[in-house]
Amino acid sequence: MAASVFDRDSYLRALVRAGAGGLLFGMPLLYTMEVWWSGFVLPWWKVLLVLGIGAFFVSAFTRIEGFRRDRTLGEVAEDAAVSFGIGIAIATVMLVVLGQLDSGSSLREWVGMIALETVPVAIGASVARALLGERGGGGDGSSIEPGAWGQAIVAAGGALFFALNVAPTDEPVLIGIGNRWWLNVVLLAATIPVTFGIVFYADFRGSHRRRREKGSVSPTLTPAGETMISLAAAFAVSALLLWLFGRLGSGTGFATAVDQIISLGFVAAIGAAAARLLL
Amino acid sequence: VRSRHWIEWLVLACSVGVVAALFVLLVYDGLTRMGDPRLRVVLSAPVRQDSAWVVPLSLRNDGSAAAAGVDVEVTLSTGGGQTSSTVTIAFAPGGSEVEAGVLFDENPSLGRLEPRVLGYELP
Repeated sequence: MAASVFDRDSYLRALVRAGAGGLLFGMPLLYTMEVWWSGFVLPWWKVLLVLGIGAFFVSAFTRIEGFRRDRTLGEVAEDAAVSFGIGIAIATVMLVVLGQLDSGSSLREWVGMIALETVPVAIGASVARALLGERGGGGDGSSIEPGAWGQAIVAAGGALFFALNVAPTDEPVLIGIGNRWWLNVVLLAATIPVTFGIVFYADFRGSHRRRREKGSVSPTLTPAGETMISLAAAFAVSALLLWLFGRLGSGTGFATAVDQIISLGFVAAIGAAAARLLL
Repeated sequence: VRSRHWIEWLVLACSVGVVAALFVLLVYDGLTRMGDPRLRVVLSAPVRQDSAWVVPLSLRNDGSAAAAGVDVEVTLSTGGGQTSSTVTIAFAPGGSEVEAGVLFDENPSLGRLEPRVLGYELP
């Protein structure tokens, strides 16, 4: 049992980095009034569900890169809890400073708003650690190839992370139902090449080049396979978010539902495609 | 398992604490407060403001669901007849209290004030 030395400076720096990432990625939603309202308008179990989905993806991102390099499942849970702790602290302070919570607010307003605003901040904190963390050290250049499920989870995480900024607002509904039908078809048609372009040609971090050199043959790791996974994840996440924020329900017509999923799906697909290559 | 530094313990304990508190409070509030919006209006004493009189009111929602676009009407009955003023309140979250006011041209203290919620929308 060799006890490794605790490096206080680097631990605190990782905390500050996570907080900065949380602020950076969470800020658009902290300044979105539809999210404040959703905090008390949504039924409590939907707020809980948003928290649960957030916890799942925070854990997934934490698994990729955490505060410490030697991570067991317990440590992943620990780091995810710290991400949420940072998220709750930032969301609470910001909502009070922005005047959305005060002594006149009910318990439901406090917990609902803090819970919803915590999710993007916590995801931002975990993504910041995954993306902006110090690389290298003991690693071999991070070359664990994800399986199809891993890919789908990362793509869905990126879709969620990106689409969450837009889903609670009125715009996807407005675009979805207000747009001419053929423009929605154009948007849907554009989603596919844009996703493919990001996955294949942009090739952030050169992951495809690395794989080609290694002669990777798995069909889910080809550009077409990854594009399909990204699109599937994007449209699934869009439908889920629209339902969570009350845009889709039993009273929504089929065409309206499809139009909304297309308009939000474009946003989600960009996130899904980029996440596949960034993470 | 290596031993943790006290800073790590502190950060972890605080994080688990606030996460647990948020979870418990959300479930507690969800399970104890049931049903549709339950709205009631409480009037305060009229205040003179330039040429008009303001009747401050607070709209309380004792239900769990939020109400949007709540129309509140306050009727003033005096010997000379009835006048009413209305105000629309954008959001009344469950368990909350929203402050508003209605205006009258004559002194409301000379008659009887009756508040009424006309309707609302479920957001």
